[in-house]
Amino acid sequence: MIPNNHHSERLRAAFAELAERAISSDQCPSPDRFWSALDGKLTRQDLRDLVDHTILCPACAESWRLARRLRNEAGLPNEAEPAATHMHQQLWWRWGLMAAAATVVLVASMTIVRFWPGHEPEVSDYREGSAATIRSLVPEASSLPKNRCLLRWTSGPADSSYSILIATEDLTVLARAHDLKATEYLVPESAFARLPAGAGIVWQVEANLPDGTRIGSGAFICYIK
Amino acid sequence: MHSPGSNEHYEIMREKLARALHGICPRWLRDRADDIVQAAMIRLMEIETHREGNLEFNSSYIWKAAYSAMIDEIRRVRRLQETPLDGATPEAADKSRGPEGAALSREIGLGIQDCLMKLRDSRRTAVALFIQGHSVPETARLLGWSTKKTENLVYRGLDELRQCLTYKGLNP
Repeated sequence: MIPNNHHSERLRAAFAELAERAISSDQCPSPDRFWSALDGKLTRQDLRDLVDHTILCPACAESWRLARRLRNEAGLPNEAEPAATHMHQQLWWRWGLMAAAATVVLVASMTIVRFWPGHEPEVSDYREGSAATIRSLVPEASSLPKNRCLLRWTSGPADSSYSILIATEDLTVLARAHDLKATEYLVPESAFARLPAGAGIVWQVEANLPDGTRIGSGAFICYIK
Repeated sequence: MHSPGSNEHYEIMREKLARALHGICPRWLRDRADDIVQAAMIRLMEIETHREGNLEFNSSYIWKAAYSAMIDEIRRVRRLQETPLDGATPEAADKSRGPEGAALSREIGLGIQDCLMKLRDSRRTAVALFIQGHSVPETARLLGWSTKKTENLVYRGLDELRQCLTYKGLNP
């Protein structure tokens, strides 16, 4: 049994008072992040990372408490379970990437046709019956330089944020990024340190919409030169 | 129930925002709470105006937008701390409870930070949420754990936290 006693209240008060002098930094998560956490929209790992940040950042700890308080005022629950556990999300990425890997052979054969003289490469378009589908704006099967591998995609609704995962064809993760506001990501050159020229990479984007829902893209393929 | 966008709707929102902010923000910021709420409401109305006809807001989205606006405004005000107005500074707040009291409270707070970071992952997360005001059942549901497991982690984690603070000579 946890004693919700005077001692616990003193701990809470002392921790909260650190916010008196706190100033948030540019590294602080967006307010949406705290709201989404209490909405159960973050993965368990993201939630833990966010909680760790609040331990060390009194201003963000205050933001968390304010979100909780405001949700109580609004009659919204503060106790939703994570929408997708880390394992589930990993599976989502993995299944998507496996599907992509399975299509590599098909893409390779299509590439021959696409790059035939006079044939313009097209933008990838993964329509899955939804107007909010995320599409790649990188010409399919194009080759990108290691030092300028800029991946771009179509935007979701305003105020969406994005996560991206980049992997090799055998699904070894090369890089990932979260909370992107822009609809593009410049992959660090260091991510390709062990990849030979001509190697294929597979990438996927997940959009986090303002209303808390998520949209995963298909898997896209391009090559590193 | 008042429809989103109506005057009554905004008035109710303003009251709830103010109540939440007054209940949570530090003393030095309370003098500015009304300004923060006002700024948040203006931004919220701007957002709703721009979205009019394009997207129907649900209640949860509106609250989220209001919260975001309020945090942005608090962050903006915090950045102005170096050029405070009306004596509403952290130092002024410190004076109200004495410099020794403020220093001790800060020392304990920093000790809690340090000791929390020394806890193992699961205990750290569970205790941090507890210190942030969440009950054990809330923490359990947030983390997708059983109540029993969460209670155990919070209990052991708090015990470890107390020992760590005692070792530092702190006794909150």
